[in-house]
Amino acid sequence: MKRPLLIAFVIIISLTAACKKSDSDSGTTLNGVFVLNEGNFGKANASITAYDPVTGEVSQNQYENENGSPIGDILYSATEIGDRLYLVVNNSSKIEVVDKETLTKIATIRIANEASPRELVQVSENKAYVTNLFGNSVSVIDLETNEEASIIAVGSNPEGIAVVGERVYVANSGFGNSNTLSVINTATDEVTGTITVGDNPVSILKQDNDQLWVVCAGAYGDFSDPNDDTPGMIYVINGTTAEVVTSFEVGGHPGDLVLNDLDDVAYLMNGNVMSIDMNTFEVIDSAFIEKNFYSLGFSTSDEGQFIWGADAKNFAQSGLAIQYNLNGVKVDSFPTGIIPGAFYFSAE
Amino acid sequence: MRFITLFIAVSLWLSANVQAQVVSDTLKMKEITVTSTRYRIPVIKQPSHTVLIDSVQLANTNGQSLGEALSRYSSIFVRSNAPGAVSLASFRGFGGEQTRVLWEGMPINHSMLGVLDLSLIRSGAFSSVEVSSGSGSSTYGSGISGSVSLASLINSEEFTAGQSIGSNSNYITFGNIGFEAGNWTLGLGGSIQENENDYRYYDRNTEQEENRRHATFDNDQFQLQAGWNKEGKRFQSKFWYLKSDHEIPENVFVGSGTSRQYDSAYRWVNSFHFRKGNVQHGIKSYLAQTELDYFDSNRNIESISTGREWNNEWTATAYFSPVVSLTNITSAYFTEVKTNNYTEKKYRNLLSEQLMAEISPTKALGIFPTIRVDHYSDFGAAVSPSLGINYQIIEDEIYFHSLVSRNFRAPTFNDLYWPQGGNEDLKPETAILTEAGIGITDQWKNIGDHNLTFFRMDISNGIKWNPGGGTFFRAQNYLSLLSYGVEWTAFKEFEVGTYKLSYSQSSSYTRSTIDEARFEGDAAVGDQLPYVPKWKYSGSFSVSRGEFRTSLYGNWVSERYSTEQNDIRDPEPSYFVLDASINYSKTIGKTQLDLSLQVNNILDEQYEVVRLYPQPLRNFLITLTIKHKNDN
Repeated sequence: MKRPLLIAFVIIISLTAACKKSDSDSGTTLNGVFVLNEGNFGKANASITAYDPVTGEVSQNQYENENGSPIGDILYSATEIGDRLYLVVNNSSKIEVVDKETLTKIATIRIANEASPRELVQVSENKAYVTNLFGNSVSVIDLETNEEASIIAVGSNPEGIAVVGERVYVANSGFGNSNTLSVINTATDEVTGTITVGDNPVSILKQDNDQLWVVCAGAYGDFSDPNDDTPGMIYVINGTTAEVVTSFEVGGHPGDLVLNDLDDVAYLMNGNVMSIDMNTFEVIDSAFIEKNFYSLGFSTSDEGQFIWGADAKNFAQSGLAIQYNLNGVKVDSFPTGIIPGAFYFSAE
Repeated sequence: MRFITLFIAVSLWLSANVQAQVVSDTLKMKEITVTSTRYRIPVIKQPSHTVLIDSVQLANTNGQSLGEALSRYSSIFVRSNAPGAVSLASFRGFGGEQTRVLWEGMPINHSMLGVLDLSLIRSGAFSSVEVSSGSGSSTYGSGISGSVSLASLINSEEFTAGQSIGSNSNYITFGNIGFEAGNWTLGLGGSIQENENDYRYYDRNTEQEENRRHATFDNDQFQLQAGWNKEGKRFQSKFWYLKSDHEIPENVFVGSGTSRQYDSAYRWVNSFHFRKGNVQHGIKSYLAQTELDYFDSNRNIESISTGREWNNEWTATAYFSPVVSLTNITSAYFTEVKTNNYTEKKYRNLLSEQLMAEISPTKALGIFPTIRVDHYSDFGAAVSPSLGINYQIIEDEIYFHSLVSRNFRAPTFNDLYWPQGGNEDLKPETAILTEAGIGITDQWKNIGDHNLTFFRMDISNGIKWNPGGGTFFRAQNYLSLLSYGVEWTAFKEFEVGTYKLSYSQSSSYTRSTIDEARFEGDAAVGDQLPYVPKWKYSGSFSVSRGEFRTSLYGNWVSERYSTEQNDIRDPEPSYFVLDASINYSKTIGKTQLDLSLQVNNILDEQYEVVRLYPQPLRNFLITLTIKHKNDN
């Protein structure tokens, strides 16, 4: 008991402070919404909730139902590559490779030294990078052999990652004590530069025009003193040139960010869900949805564009996923597993 | 399953139906005096039920932790994360924070965490353990769901040395020696344990058999005691040193891990008892220093903490008449915690005043009113009244007992001061306990000693760490809980021809739930709390003849839930673990040689007490003990 207590507080903080993204398809029909439920730290009760928006049918423990075994400890993110889904299981230090339609297990990629993988991105046909929160590194994954091929040292406690051409950008959060992005050349697997951003960069989202949006959650300073915190910021980076385009303050300690289909409005979790004009870089509505969520998702299909928010409730029982239209009006909801941390949308 | 049913059925039949010659020299229940309730009277005269685990039973669990002994002989459910890992007592549906653990009457729960890790304590280090389910805050202050009271007494007329060798590279060397000279006694005892805990299990993560890794456990314990006794005046000094260095096995999905923990504790208690007139006095002083250092290189965690305690207690019992006695206990506790987790050194001062009466208006009736006031420097006062009765329906044969008490649990240092989410505005948890039971002794139709106790606890202001509306979890007075159930203990010794047989069992039913919705849409209301089995049964059966003794120990635990919402996952399966031992004992002059073979989990049950922490399959422990009486 004493060990979980001692470490859980530290880890929970890192988990709740971070945000994570799942890839989404945009196509004609949204035929499946998967919620990645992190589960409780150290309890290996992560799960996947499957929701059919057409029938309204909800299926819990979808991975376990399909494969007969729990997925592991803290399911953090999912990345679609071809017909496969790469499920990053953070505290199990592994990546489960599954069929993206059925979730049938294909392979397991083990990350050495319990480096704590967070987010994965494909950087070439047979290569992917995954950030390692405690490894202070990026693992190079061979997508043919499904093995960790090598390790690239980056800044402290990397979380978000995005690729533009041959450049990969890694957000070094430092658990609030860092303010840099590492830039990696995917041809040489070497760090070629560092970009200074706001405190605690946790996630990076890419616009269609290769412009990167970096969420900087702000530093906490002395945890017992809220007055010495630094405010949340958004940094916009030109992904092609690796230069800062602009930055602006959003305050608080923001979490998940999603971008709409037209790349003109961003939605940021920051106490409430705020909407941001992506052209003027100004906050449109600081309480576009008056509710705080643990994670956000955004889906696009012929049925329309929707914002999805996941409420983790008290982090100890099933959560709730809520669907909103672009007017911020609730459309639907369904129950999830414990700590719904990310969405993945399947569309045809 | 059939084996479980057979084992329980035979055991229960034996307890109720054996018409055999009662062993004449058996220690009868009515003679057993317990002290953990602070009423120094036989267990059958107490207002609440207490289970005594004696030195023989503790010796039978030699090589195992205190948690194993509590699992085997009491209604406590021990949440063990497998050998070498953390092990906490769960009493009447609540956790290790709510269960008070005492050594020589002094609380030893860790001040930062509020719990005591039972895996660190070897059961053989103690002369007796009392498990008092109804021991409320009016008895020892902070604590809601009973107490576990450890006593150390090294035999002053004996030299003992032993060695255990077991499966999974488990080695224990132990011994003690005692002397008596005039009015003085001196004792020294200790043990050194090294355990690899590299047992095999089926790994649900890799889907193959694996060896448990990262669970090595080294543990050294020593006790030094001195006593002086003359003309009713009694002085005792007891020192207990514990050092543990162990890796921390995590669940099978987390991998080998790199975390490691170092614990050490120096505890020293001195007491002096004397009588002046019709007043019996007791003065006790306790000093302790505990270290708990936790390291995880992968996660960059380095947690170092030192706790210091200095407790003083003065007890005075006045015997006004054979009908009334009154006890006053005045205590002062000072606690200091220094850790790199807190911004500064933290302190807690506690002053307590306690009044206890024992009123016996008739020979059959005992009335036990008590009130205790604890004043804490960090959150103020807590008042804990209680009223207990004991009525001898047939003297020394059938009795009724009942207790109503208001209990509290003080927030831990972490609850108050942890930088990310500690809450200095916390109030103590409070609980109303009601219990009533009936006991039967073996003197009534030779059916053995039985006790059936019903209980109910209503907890309010339960402390839990929750997402407090911001990014971090925060300690909050958050829970309203209800727990009720029934406990049944039974014990019987008898002879059949030249065979001596004994049977004991402890079983319980516990329903423990969240009583009130904590937020809109709270789906856990009315569900069984995590890791609280509704049913638990533990029983032992021993047969001895001449120099041989063989024993069977069964422990069945019903299904548990790993989450507070019972329908999220399938329940954790129930399990039945059967252990057995064979002992051979040979006495030559003043020297006794004991050889024992203990086989744990002989049915090879594949089980987990806590989800994804696999327990060992069948394993062995061989122990050779030499005892030499040094009396004249």
